[in-house]
Amino acid sequence: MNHIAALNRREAPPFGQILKPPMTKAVSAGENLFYVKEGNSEVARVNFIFPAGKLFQSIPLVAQGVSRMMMDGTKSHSGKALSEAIDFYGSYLSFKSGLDYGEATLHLQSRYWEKVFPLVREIFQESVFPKKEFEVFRENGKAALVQDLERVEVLAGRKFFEVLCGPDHSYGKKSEVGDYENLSPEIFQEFFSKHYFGNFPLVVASGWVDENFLKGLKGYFYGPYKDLVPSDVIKEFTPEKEKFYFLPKKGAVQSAIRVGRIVVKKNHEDYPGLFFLNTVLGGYFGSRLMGNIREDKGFTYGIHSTLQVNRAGGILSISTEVGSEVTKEAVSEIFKEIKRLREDLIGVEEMALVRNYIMGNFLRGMDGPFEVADRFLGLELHGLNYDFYQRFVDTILSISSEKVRELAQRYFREEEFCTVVAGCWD
Amino acid sequence: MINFKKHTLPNGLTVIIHENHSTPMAAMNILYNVGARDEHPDRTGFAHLFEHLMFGGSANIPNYDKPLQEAGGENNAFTSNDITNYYLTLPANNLETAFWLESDRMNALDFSPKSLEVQRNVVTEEFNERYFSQPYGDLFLLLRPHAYKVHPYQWATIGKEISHISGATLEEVRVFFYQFYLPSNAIMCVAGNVKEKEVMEMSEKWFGPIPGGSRIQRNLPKEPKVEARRILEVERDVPFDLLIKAYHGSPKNSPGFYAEDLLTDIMSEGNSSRFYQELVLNKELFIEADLYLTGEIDGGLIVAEGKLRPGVSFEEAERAIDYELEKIMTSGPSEEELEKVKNKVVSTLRFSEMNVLNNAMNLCFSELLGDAGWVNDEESKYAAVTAGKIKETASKVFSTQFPSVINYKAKR
Repeated sequence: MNHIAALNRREAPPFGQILKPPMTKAVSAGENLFYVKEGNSEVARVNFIFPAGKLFQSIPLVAQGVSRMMMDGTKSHSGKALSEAIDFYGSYLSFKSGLDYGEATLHLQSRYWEKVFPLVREIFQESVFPKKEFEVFRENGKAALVQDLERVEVLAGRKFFEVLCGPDHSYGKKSEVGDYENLSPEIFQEFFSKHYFGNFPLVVASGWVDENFLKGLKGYFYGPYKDLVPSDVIKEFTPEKEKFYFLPKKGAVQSAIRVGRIVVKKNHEDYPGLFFLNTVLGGYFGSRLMGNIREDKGFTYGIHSTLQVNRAGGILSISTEVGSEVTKEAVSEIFKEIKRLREDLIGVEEMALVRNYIMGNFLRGMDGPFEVADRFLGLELHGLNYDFYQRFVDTILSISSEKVRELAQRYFREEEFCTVVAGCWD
Repeated sequence: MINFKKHTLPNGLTVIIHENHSTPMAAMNILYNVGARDEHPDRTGFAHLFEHLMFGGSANIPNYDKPLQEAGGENNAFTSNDITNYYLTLPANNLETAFWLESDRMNALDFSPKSLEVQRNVVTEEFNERYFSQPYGDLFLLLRPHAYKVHPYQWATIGKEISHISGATLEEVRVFFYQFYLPSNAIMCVAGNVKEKEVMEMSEKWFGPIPGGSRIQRNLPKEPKVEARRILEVERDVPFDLLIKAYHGSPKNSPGFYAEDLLTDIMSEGNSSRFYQELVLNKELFIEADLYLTGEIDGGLIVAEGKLRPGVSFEEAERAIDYELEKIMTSGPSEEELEKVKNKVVSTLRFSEMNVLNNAMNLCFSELLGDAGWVNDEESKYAAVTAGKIKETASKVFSTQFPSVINYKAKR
């Protein structure tokens, strides 16, 4: 006789922890070239990283502007011809620039490398900045900035970086609409020559990286590899003294809140523990901040805290947009949660939950060629090696609630936090 | 080629299994055949509010997220005019946790006043953040009722107005649940490092006992053809004028859809596209200009949208767009243009199928349209579109109907 046990929906099925996640590594092909060969689809991604971020500019908007104009023409091809050729082979080439680096990302069907690589190299070596396209860039850039400056989250974010990094630090210096008048094709050409043309990028290929593809990469992009960010480029943060800033915006339906402070860089011994603490505070959907400010009070659609680490330094940043009428209360609740973590030990269940959650994400982060490539970039671009991930995993698996509280006592002191509010402050 | 197996439980739940043993993860995607189009016109925003309520606790499990996070899982959901879709990924050895959680909330929610209250507030904040705090945020709140006069696509997923959400009662919530959240009205795909046998065993164990019903039958009114040009003028606190010209497109599962998709790509995908080269770069009339489709199952919109450069009038801008539409209607695309956009589609499909969760979602969606196996026909359906077909489609879309136009003016 078949006995079917009554289904007990109240009881969670047994589950396992992730104790030994895979540490899949990118492979070196020598010098500046690395790859992750994985996957069944015949497509690949190639990341090209240049020392061409904000860190390297002396005039606002240059790094970003050059990056935006990289598809606008070379000595041999107009922008239109470049786009047509790259698009024709079903490839996607995009450029972006951030605080430290200028990046190009290429997605393509691997078999078309012979058609696409020469064009990409040409862009890296022969880009020109035609006058007409420059004017379009300038007009559109001004337009976009004007629009952005209407948004409370943009206003708060800009101010936040300015006060923590310092108004003269390349990370903190705000760009204004007027800054567009100081730009020119010649200035762009100079930056391009120094930071793109004059450097072999870090090249990381992932996906269908077969023998021919690798040969192609070697033929077009291989070169001597030196540290992308020399230490003399890195300047210390020069934070402002004041701890509270309010940027009014008439009629704002929501206020943007940024609360945070300068913390450690990725190579610091406290980083993994701080990552754990940050996750508890606001690093996932079940965090203290989400539980309080979204789930309990319904003040916001989302609140998060992030450990943003770059070459010049790290910043802990809590950010949210809340209904304007509850702005003051929301800020107060944020500090309540910070205080709780400083004073009380995190309970056993929550420790286990956050541990498993982070490990689940780590597993996800090592799953598939593009993820593995991203993990490699997360090391290489901070001057780290794979020991970092081992140290990270070891910390997450073993950190005690006492140690977490110790870190909170060190880093979660209210007087060291800065608050920026854009919108309403009754 | 996405391999899969399909079964149906006695209670009507469709179970699709897609095995991929190169990943340590499992993905579970559950598509409920209910969207904003199924709402009552005086109680809109309900399907979306419901998506939030599904996280407020089920009959036996007070908190959905915690047990999933404990098992190393991550989840999210979204609501559209057509469907409500829930998805999660977790280490494959913890698969049963997903079955426990999803089956309990398909079976019965914990309909509590506190949960309703909190989610109402959250959705209200979402309304504010997405639609009233962003410049041009209310564009689709305006465009939908302007372009659709009869079909329920005339309201956005978030709802026509906040009061519809703030007035929702627990009883209404209960009725909605038992009407739409049935195994017979759901399609589930379990993908990744899983085995068909174990998935079916768990499906029968956890989902089997849930009482079935029938797949909902829709009898939605058909949107009549737009017989005259419609224009709406609004003024908002935004930096730039925005022009919208919307036309009606083919239903998702029809042959015309693929031609329309490629048509929009030819017109505005990437820097080599016609809109970018002519409207943005050469004529310098637009800061940005786009032609896109919204893709709803019963027939979405094909929208030309552009931000005008200061000093450019709406008339001039619209003439320039019409000029481009005329060109494609008259001469169709070149063979190069067509091959280009097809190559791009192939690239996109190939990248997409590397992601196990994407595959699970697409399998469920194709099944909803009629057959999960259609996921593997996408490439050939796009490949079959000819230049002549694009030209014909352009004529059909742009000259056999009138547009719904919005002049979205920047307050001076």
